Amino acid sequence: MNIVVCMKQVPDTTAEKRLLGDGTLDRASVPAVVNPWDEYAIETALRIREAQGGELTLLCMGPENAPETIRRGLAMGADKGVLVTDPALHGSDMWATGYVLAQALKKLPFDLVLFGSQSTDAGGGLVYGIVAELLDLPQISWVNQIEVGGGKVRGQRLSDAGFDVVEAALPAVVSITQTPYEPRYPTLPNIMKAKKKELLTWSLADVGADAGKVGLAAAHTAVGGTEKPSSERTVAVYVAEDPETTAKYIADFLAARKLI
Amino acid sequence: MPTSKDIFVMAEIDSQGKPKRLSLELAGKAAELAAQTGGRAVGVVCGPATAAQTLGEYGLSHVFYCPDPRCAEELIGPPAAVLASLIAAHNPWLVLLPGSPLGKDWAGRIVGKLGLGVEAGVTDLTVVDGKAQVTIPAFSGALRVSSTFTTDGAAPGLVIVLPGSFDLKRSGGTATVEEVALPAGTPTQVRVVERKAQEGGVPNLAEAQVIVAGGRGLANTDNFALIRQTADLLGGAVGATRAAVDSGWIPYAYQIGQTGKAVKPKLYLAVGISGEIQHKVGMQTSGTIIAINNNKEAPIMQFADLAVVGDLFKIMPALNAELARRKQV
Ligand SMILES: Cc1cc2nc3c(=O)[nH]c(=O)nc-3n(C[C@H](O)[C@H](O)[C@H](O)COP(=O)(O)OP(=O)(O)OC[C@H]3O[C@@H](n4cnc5c(N)ncnc54)[C@H](O)[C@@H]3O)c2cc1C
Ligand SMILES: Nc1ncnc2c1ncn2[C@@H]1O[C@H](COP(=O)(O)O)[C@@H](O)[C@H]1O
Repeated sequence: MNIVVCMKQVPDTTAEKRLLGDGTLDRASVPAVVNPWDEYAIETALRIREAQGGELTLLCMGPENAPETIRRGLAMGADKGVLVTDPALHGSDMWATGYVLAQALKKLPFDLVLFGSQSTDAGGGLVYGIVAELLDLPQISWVNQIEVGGGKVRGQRLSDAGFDVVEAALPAVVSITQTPYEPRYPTLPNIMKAKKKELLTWSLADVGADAGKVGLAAAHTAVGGTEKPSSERTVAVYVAEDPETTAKYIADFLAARKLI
Repeated sequence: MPTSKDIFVMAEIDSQGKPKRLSLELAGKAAELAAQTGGRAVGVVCGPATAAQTLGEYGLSHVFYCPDPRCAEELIGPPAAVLASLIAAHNPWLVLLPGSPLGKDWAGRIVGKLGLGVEAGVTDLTVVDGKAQVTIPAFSGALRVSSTFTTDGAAPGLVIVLPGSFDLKRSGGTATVEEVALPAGTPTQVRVVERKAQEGGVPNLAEAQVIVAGGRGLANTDNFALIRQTADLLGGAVGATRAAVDSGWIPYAYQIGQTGKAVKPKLYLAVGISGEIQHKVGMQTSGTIIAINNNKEAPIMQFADLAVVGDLFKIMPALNAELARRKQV
């Protein structure tokens, strides 16, 4: 079973964010991490590989400094990494991201491609659908448990009532949500081992992608302006008195705002 | 070829075949924009004719519906194929989609199929100089970005909208409804082989107007009954932090935050929740936030409208009693 996990480098949620003059994020100014959703995809892939063998490749489209982040996934246990990076990619939109990943996937042998269900910075939840469409593959998304075998993949997708068990033939695209198991933490020996693992760097030309279709100039959308949302809330602090008085206070507060 | 001025809405239905609240919010917004630009507000729904009629009551003048059962059985491919063929045939200016898992799934396939521009995670949509301008909270809400389509008016633009961004407006109109068939040759790629119900149900957090959420402060599963009662009294849903989910007190479907659901109720009551950033990003845009926490230094006490410092085990039973009493009078 050969698995590719598409992983994105994202700015750490807990860090301060700054923008460049062209309105894109100054990614150099914030520590980068593996998109937390993708860690669940990596963990899921590791478990399948441990049970069934095969090779696990991480695929990332990102800036030149992304290898450090990819190494974290290698330290979790992935076998090799591929970074698609190119100056022309700066400012690429959703379609272009899907296009470049699809082109790269054409060069990698796989039975299964796993994604996170969304990224914490763009939060689109779109890229895997674009990739699946471009490669004409079935797509199972928003699943927190998968089984592979007999040329098929089955996943448990959250539904309005509980779960839908969805099934598709391999090769397939699957997006993972938070799983019942935690992504493993890289151990020191594995961090050392990861330094020696293969990490390829591919350009747009290497994946046969048309540079005219990607980057800021080809983007279908353009950021006009950005602002820091003002934190308009004024906090009313109320130190609880006896329970009944406190309950009345809260109920009055709700009533004053017409919430009851 | 320039686009028409039409605004399309791709609606999502519930298990009873009724349009979901977010889809109705989109219908109202589409009607408002259409009135401004002189285009039509058009719906697309993979479901029964009654769903199409309901969309008309919320402002759409024309609704295409596809009742083919494959839409429900295969979730993504068939509805995306229906919408793609209607987009190709009518060349609308904008297509609004719900920012739900299914809405995103459909949008991804459409963007891949037709190579269109897409704005995701949108919380506002206005027309500026005849062009669509959207607002998107970015980077965990640290920034608010305004964005436009470089292809505005030249190719349809997809707009994926978060719940609670637009008011629900029932105009009471009637739409012309028109049945459409699933495009010939749509392949079967995925099948739902089983539907499992979650014991105790799944909260509709994305669309809830009131959420009472519990965290590690609740200390065990049984104590969730305390906030379940509050939620019932307020007509709301129960939510939870990851700490509560990881402790096995409540299923993942209840989790709010970075790796759970993003919510925007009118009232968010946080009980025994610290308000760490990964939780905050999922609920910070809620209308009124009330926190009940015995530690006045907890982060949530910095971004709540009302920060009640006290023991939840004393306060919640009294609050439930008080709410029940006020309901009776
Ligand atoms: C990658 C990643 C993703 C994450 N995603 C999410 C996510 O989606 N959602 C999420 O919620 N978290 C998420 N987290 C976890 C997050 O960082 C916090 O650990 C979590 O939100 C804490 O949950 P809590 O507030 O219930 O627990 P705690 O932080 O332990 O807070 C419990 C609070 O209860 C109060 N309390 C205790 N007893 C009482 C009492 N008797 N009366 C009143 N108050 C009391 C305490 O003062 C405390 O403030 C994520 C973390 C990571 C690293
Ligand atoms: N630049 C990228 N490189 C590799 N994978 C990506 C990239 N962008 C998005 N993805 C994958 O697509 C998923 C959904 O991302 P998004 O559509 O941005 O929410 C992520 O969780 C990743 O698995």
